[in-house]
Amino acid sequence: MIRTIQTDWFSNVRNDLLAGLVVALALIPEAIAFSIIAGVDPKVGLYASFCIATVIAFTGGRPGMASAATGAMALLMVTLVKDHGLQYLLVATLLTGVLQIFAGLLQLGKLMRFVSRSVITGFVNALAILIFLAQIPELTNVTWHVYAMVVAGLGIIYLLPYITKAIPSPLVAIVVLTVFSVFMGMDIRTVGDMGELPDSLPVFLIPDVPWTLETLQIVFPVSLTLAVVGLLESMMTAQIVDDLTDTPSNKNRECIGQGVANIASGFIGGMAGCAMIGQSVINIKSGGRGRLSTLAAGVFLLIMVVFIGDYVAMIPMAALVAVMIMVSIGTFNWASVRNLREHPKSSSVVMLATVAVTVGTHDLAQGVLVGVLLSGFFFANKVGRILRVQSSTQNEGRNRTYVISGQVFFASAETFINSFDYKEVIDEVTIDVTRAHFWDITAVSALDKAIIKFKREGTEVEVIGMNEASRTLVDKFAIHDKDDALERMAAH
Amino acid sequence: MDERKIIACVDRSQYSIAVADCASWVSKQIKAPIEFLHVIDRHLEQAEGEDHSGAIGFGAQENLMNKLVMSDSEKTKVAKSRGRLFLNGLRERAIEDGVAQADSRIRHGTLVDCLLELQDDTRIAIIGRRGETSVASNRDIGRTFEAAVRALNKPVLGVHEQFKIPERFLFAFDGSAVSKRGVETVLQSQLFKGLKGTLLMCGEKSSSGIKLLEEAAQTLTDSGIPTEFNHVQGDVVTQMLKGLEIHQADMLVMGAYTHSPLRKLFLGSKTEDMLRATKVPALLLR
Repeated sequence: MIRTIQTDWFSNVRNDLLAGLVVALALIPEAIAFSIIAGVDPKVGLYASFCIATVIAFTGGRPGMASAATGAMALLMVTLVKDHGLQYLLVATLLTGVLQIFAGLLQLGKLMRFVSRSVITGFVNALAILIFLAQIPELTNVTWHVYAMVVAGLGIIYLLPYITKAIPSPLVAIVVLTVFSVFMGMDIRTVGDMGELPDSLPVFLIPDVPWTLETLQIVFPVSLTLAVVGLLESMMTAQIVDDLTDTPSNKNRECIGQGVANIASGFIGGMAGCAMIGQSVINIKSGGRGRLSTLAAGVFLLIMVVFIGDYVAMIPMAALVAVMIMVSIGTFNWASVRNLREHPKSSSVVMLATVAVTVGTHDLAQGVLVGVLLSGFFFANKVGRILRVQSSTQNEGRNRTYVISGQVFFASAETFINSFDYKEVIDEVTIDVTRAHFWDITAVSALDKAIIKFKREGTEVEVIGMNEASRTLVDKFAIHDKDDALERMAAH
Repeated sequence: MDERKIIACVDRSQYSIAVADCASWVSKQIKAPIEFLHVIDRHLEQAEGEDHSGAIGFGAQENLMNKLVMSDSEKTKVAKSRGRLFLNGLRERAIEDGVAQADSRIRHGTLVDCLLELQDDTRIAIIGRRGETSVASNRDIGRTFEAAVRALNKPVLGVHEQFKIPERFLFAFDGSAVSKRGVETVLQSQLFKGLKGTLLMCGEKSSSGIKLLEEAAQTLTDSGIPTEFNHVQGDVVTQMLKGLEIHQADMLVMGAYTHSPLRKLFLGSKTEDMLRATKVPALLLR
């Protein structure tokens, strides 16, 4: 235990602290931007980011993964905030946390294996597009100064690293643009115009709502979606961090950890959040590996926001837009565009459908649902094609033997039935299914159908190997019964 | 025939020669083959972070992945070829020294995990009390060493920078079940063949304690290991160190890390104090 604590917290101290600082600097613009998306004061997102990053450092299952207020979650709150206000959002945040803890206890993290690579890519791309689209309001009906500032900001962000990598270029962009706009006295929108910023350390508060069934009915659907999307993004990000660092993570602990972090956020007036792909990549890139990196990010964020809040208010929105466009570009999986042509069509369709549905509904949960369903269909369709029927006649054409091999289930049952020649005048038919797998009831009834059809033509039917074929029918294969059961299943 | 091996853990620090020489001695004493274990630990929990630009652009994830994979792969390749050469050297040294069988094994991962994997084939593990990382970080007792001793349930022989074939061992006897088992181990092991011993007990004088001590010394002497015994009072660590000097013992045998890491955090560890203060090889029994 001590060894784990040692490894998770203190084996990379210097890099973790520096990476935490870099992440905190990038979290500030994001937290503000996502608050604006959700329609709440920037302080709601800033408190949430501080709280989630800090709590998840202790409770999370993936050291080094950055969590805070996120765009994916913010998009789901818009209606709730508009119709019922901030207090209901806080209740929804608490309930989201509770649901996520349940999901963790039920080990729902395991369900992630049904989410294919294409769906994940679609999710990531949709997220990047949504982050970009959320910047559009800041770019419409504005003077050319704003465009110039965004371009200048992006220029600094991407070109400065060629000169020095010692300081975060997004920070430099924000400072330069802020100083410039204040100095020139430009009349453009600033963070201060967007709502209240934190002026003190967060305090514990209980949301001011009637604690009735009606409230529950209002927040529950939102919380459920928030919980699902939060966990989806967290699990995907955890996977990405696992791959980048070549270390394992505890997915169920992460689910519970996200829940605890959201509950904590709800009690200090913050919105719900989850793991962030872009920030986690930044953290790893800056050398963050341990839990200390995320703790540092949260603490640095709070210190900066509370003590230099007056300056934060002067940041022009254009500077934030530049940073968010960077996050969007960095999150988007550009290789997937190139891969569209090389990958199988079905994968591309799944990816594009996930993106389309998500962008259309602003709900990543629906996008993923469509993606998962589509990949299921495509898979069933593909496997259904693994069905061979060979036939031969015996006894001078009076008997015919059909040898079936392959997968028989709902998607291939039709093909199975149609592969027999019912019109042939014959005395006896033998159907050998020893090398076929009957996966479901549809398969069994398809065989019944075929037998009945033969009987009507006055043909006697004999089925061979039904026991072997239907061994796959039971929900739990009893392969542990005998030592060679697995081999025998594969062989038949 | 006991097929289990002596696992000699070597990294590329100056401790490895001592580990290898000690392994040769143990091998000749107990007639067991040596396996030199060299672990390439990429230290996944650590990072090299020179890029604090915080900017992510086109294909950020992909580029980062490529960069990390490349740097890991380069480092590991170098470590692998160096490790092989180094292991060959140690093996030749052992064979020249008259060891019948010496193999080497090179693994990825952490030393503790590798030792646990090999545990069932291990008779005794020989580890340097410090290593590459602890030399670099100026720790007296390597973290890896402690973790390995705690994790394994096999005897561990911890050696210091220099190794000299021991002639007399000092057994830290406290009358507990661990030390009784320890005496059993000494009895049965060929390791102590030709050595003389001293059982040293430290603490309140009690007739039952003295009796145990006397019996244990007698049993050892009867089975061909001439053993004295002594009883002293005072601080265990100080007395044991004094004992090493008085009895001119050049090897220490003791039960190790009997307390939880949490207790160690607040009270310190006697095992560690002892290891820190002496340079003789120490056989740690769990």
